[in-house]
Amino acid sequence: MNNGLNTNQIHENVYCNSDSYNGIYNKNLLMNKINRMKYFVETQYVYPNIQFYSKMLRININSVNPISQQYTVNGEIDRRGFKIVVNVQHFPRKNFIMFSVECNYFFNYHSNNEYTPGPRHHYINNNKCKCLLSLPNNIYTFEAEDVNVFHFTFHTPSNLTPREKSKGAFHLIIDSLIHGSIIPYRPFIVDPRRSVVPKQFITWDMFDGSMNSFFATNAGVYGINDISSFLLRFPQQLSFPNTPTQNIHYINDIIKPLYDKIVVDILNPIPTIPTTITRVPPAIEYVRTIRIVDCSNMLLYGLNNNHRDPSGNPQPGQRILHGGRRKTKKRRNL
Amino acid sequence: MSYPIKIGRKPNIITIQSTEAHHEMFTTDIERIKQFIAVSDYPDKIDPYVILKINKKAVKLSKQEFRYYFGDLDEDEQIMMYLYESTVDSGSRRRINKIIKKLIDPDQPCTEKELIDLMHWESGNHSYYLTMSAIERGEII
Repeated sequence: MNNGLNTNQIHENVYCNSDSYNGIYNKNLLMNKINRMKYFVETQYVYPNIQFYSKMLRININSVNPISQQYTVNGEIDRRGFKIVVNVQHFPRKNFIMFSVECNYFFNYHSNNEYTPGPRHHYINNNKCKCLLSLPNNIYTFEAEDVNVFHFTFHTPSNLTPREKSKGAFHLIIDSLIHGSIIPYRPFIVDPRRSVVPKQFITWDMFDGSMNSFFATNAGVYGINDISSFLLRFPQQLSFPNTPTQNIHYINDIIKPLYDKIVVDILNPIPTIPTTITRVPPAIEYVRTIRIVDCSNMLLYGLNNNHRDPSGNPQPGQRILHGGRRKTKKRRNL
Repeated sequence: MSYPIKIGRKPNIITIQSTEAHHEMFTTDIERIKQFIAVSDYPDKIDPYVILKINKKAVKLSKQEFRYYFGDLDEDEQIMMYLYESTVDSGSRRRINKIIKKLIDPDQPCTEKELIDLMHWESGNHSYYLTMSAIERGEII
């Protein structure tokens, strides 16, 4: 039965993986490990690379004159006073953990609207800001607060809808690369190709190639903003100098190692749990013209070996990944 | 900097000026805290002495230190602080109240965006308190 919420098979694959994490989620274990990782991230990936972040995000580190270079972006004049922090937040009742790298900065803003310095939030360029000072000539000084550079979230078990979970209950969102309203992300996915226990999460490089039509896509499918397809569609500069002799690549040197570290150090050691609780479904390849196989059927086919032929191979004409198979191939009624 | 802030559903009971709001949010005056709690939507859910304990810490800590301190509190204490701050805050109280109601109700799911909004709102309140205190002391940004 299809619930009609997910727009394609990739959504359903990610949702189905996410839902299976209800058996993996262990908030105490996750929190302990994430808290321990926080110091490591601060000292290895954030503070030593502050020049890189400053250049990439186009915010001056200094907060007072004289400033060697001024950054003005989308009407935010003289972005300055750059501060970057690592934050871990936990909402136990909602089974939600966020591990984020965030920044704060000040900027001047010219507007014919009248702003009153005060506690009220305003949104400028989709960032939450507070007006601090009113200057002559309709110039106001704002503070942009807690702007996410990137963040990892872990939120299961929960009764979130399939649409919410179609981004993956565990995932990375790279807020700083936003393009219009599209924010690139990458879910943490249990590798559906491994039939052995314990299940392993997919590392960063394993997404490229074979995973594209299962958990990521470069087919321009609506709502799928996996980072690899995102960068193909919206190429941008990702490499900036950190020191005169060192260039840092945002994805290769920061995001990818952190993603893999979470996979190797935090997520992969967790599924030491009975397989009866965690049933990771086989993913189904996305083919635009073929109807969606929903999560319950993915689980059913993946766990039922009677659907294989006597030699254990999939039936001719069926696509399969890790023992799962599609029962029917029908053209979707549009 | 002088628009009035109405607290609670009864607008005339307490009115403070916006310049004072951030100080009120982190006040260490127990009687003032009790006054705000009395007009909040959840007077029976907020322990004034928990708020007093948190506020006494808050006024001594930097933004980041306060975030860590707040993150280590029991969730019940965190929720009391959310409720208290939403009583004093004028800016986004209706939207935040909606999220806090979901947070209290075990059957209501919160989206990731809502929870991020809530945590940024809370730390933003403390950040604002620190910034305005610095401006009042004559420290220029």
